[in-house]
Amino acid sequence: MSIWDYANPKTFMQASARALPWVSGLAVVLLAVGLVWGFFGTPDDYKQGATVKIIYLHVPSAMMAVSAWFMMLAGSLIWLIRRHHVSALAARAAAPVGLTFTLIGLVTGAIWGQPMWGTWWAWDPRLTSFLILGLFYLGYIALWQAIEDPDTAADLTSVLCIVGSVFAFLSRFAVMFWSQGLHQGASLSMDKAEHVSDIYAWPLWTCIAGFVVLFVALVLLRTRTEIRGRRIKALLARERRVG
Amino acid sequence: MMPDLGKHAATVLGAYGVALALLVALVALTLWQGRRVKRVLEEVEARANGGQRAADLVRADGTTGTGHDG
Repeated sequence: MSIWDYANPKTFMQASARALPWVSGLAVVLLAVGLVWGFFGTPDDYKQGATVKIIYLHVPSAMMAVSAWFMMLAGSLIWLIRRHHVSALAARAAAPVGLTFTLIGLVTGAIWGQPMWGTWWAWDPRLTSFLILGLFYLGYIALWQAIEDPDTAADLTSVLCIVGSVFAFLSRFAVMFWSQGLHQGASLSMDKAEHVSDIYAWPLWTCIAGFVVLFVALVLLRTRTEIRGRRIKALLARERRVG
Repeated sequence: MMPDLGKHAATVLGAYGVALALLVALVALTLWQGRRVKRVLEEVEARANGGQRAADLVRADGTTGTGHDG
C-alpha cells in the first residue's frame, strides 16, 4: 500500500480509527513514566537546583512546537503540489496543537528564566524567533477561520506556512549561528561536553517520545474531526442546492 | 513522596501546573470538538439519507410522497 492511499479520506478514517487507541495509550504511558521519573526520580542540579525538573516539560514542548510547524509545512507542500485534501486538513489540525506546545514552551521558559537569568524574558534570538513562531501559529489559525472556501483557505494558509518556516528554522538553529543571547545551546547535543548528564537525559528522552506520540494522537484525532467537518459542509451545500 | 524542591518549589510547581493545565485543556477541547462534529455529521447524514430515500420513492411511484415514516 502506498502512502498516497492515505490521502483518500475513507482510507485515512479507517486506518486512523485502528491506530488511535494504540497511539493514545502509548502517549499516556510515555508521558506518565517520563514525567514521574523526571519529577520524583532525579536529583537537583548543582547549579540550577530543583528548577532542572522544568526541563521535562520545556524542552519537549519547545521541540514539538517547532517540529509541528515543519509537519504543517510538509502537509502544506503536499497540498500545493498534489492537491490532497487530507494533507491540508492535517496541517490545519496540527496548528492548535503546535500553538499549545509553543505556549507551554514560552511559559515554562519564562518561569524557569526568572530564577536562573534574573528575568522572565529577554529579546534573545532564540526566544524572539520562538515568540514570532507563536504569532505565526495564531495568524495561521485565524486565516483558516477567516476564509469560507476551504480550497482557497488551504492555498493561502499553505503560503503563510512556508513564510513562517523561516522562524521555525531560526528558532531551532538560532543558538548555533548567533553567539549571543541568554539561551543555552542544545541540551541533547551529541557533543559529550555540552550534553546533559545521563541521569536527566533518559527521563528527558522518555518525555520527548511522549510529546511526539501525543502530537501524533492529537493530530490524528483532529484530522478526523476536520474530515467530518468538511463532509458536513458538503452535505449541507447539497441540501441547499436540492431544497 | 513529594521531593524537596527547596526555595524553587513555587517555580517548579507553577511550571508544571500551567503546562499540565494547557495539555489537559487541549486534549479535552480536541475530544469535545470531535464528539460534537461526529454527532452533527450523523444528523446531517441521516437527513440526507432520508431525503435520498424520498427521492427514490418519488421516482419509483411517480408520486410526490415524502418518504418519511411518520
